[in-house]
Amino acid sequence: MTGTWKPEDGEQRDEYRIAGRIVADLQVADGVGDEPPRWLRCRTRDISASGLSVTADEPVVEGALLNLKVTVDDSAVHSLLTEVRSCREWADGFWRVGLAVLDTGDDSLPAWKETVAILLEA
Amino acid sequence: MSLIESIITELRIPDLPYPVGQSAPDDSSRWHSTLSEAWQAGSDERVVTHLQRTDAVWSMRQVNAAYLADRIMNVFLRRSGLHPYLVHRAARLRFWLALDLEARGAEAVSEQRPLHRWLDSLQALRGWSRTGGRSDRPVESHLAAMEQAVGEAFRTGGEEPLEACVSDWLEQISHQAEQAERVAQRLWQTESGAAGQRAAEQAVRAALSRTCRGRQLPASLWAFIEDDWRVLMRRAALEHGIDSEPWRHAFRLLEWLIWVGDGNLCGQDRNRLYHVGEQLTDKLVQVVTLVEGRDPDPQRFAPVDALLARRLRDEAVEQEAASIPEADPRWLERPDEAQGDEARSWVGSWYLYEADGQQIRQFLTGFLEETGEVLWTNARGAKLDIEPFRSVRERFEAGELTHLPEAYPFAGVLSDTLDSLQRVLESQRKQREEARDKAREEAEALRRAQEQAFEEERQREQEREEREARERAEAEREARDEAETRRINDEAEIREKVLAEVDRLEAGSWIQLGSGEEALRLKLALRIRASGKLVFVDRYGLNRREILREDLATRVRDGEAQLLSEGAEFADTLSRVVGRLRVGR
Repeated sequence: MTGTWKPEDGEQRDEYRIAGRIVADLQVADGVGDEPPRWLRCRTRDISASGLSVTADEPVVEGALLNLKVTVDDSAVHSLLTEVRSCREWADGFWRVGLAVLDTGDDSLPAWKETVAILLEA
Repeated sequence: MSLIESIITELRIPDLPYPVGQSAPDDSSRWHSTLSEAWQAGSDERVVTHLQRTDAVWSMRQVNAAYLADRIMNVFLRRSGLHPYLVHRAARLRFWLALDLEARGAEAVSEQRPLHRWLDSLQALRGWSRTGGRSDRPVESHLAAMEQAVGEAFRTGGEEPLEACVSDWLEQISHQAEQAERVAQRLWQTESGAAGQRAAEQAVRAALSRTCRGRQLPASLWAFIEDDWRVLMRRAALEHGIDSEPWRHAFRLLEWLIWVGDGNLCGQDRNRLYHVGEQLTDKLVQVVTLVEGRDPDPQRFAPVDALLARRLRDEAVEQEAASIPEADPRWLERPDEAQGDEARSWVGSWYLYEADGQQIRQFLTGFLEETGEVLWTNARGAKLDIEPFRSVRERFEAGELTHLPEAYPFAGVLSDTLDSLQRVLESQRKQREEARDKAREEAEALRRAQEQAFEEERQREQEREEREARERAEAEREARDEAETRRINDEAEIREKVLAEVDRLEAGSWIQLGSGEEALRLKLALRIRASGKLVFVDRYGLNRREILREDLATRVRDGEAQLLSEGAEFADTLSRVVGRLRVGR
């Protein structure tokens, strides 16, 4: 897991965040039987090496471990395991969800960090 | 690269719909049509709000041009000091400014651009109030023309209509400013003259009020005072001032006339009556000569002489009560010099107040020394009101009247806005560099830690296999019994097989804990290699459970858990293997 979040601030990450809007799909339920998995379409508010802040039109449960698919640059799809660190409703009726990207022992987190580093070059 | 260009291409403001990475923005016609539609609809929202509303991919340049246009216009309008209605109408030009900033960068806000010239020219309307009257019309009509010109520029992509509209407007306001100046000058001359006459008239009224109220006078004397002496006193006040000798003498003689006229006063002191009677007419002549500069007609004072004769003969004279209205005695004193100095320091500024929910602006054109009043005018130089300065000050102190903030030119707004954004930009560049290096270091550290964890796991596995081989050999040596040896081998075989299956579980693999109605299905979310822990969650990502791999293998062997993800076939096979081994034992 990454350790650069400030739990007391909820969604506030103690690092530079790249403000930007891209589509991010959050798997809010696995499929059961014939029922397919349920994906919640979100849009990022910002991304960073250790997490993302997204806007969703429904709430998610804080503490849940959820799969996230996010495509940066129309090419690499990042499949990440994320933990919901915060979820708050804003005045616009949308929910702001703070997600921390977890280290699953494979290359997903290092690859994500590498992508963010490349975006920060631009 | 200019600062504006850097801001437009690099800055990232939270919550704005920037692209991430090299994603190609949508067709530029989308940008143009979004701004144009917002303009045509008379939107009062921010430009970025319109960009946020759609899912289109906007370029950095477009998002930042929108942000910059919003910010510049917001600061300008907040500080402009213009009437809220004008601010409201001008604010809509943010859509045109955004389009121009995206297309031209820094040049869009240069002093030669029509928008810059137009915004600066609005300072000429600082004093404009929306009153619903005639003076609204030229401004309303120009605003409509300007909106039409911008609409035309949006449609055609050419700036000629806008350029022409702004040039016409600049000419118009220059002409209006000259005209307002002329009107204000003429008004000032008129009002200055009128102020002297008003002060003189008020002083006479105050003098009459002080001396005559409550007195009984013969009708002939009333007529003399009203028709003659009052006029003389006004002339003395106007031409010589109320601190002059002629005014003082005229005032003193008014008191004498009243004394002689009211029998209740003069009847009590015969000696003084003789004394006054001897001198009164001569003094009247002297004062008239002093004030009017020529000797009066001797017949002028006949009513006074006749009254004096009757008083000296002690004849009864019919009297009537004076009908003199109350007057402000302050008119008998010179305006306070200190107040004059203060009032003059207020001259030449705009002030505003609220009336019936409307903001009214008025210009303090001048201080009328004779009356202690100020002259208020509007933006066209026309008279609004004359008000005593003390009343102005009272309203100001009560907060009913305030100064209109000083004019803030567009260039100043631009420079302030860009300065503050430059600081943000520089800070962001530094933060980005640091974050980039940190992200790279973290990625490398994670990969190193993973390799190390793999290596440690491999070593642990190797050690375990060696240990189990030793244990088996030892057990074989100790228990020669063939059945016991087979049992131990079977146990080891089951455990090894199950552990191998547990290690094969991948993220997303399912297990079942318990059985029957209390069975709980969980998904492997995460494997922590360093500690050998497996983190499971339910289908909603909740109910997190952490289980050591060895514990899970034991539970599977003992039938307390099942591995489901490899499918029913795997579960069945595993269960058959476990069952067969148990039966064999």
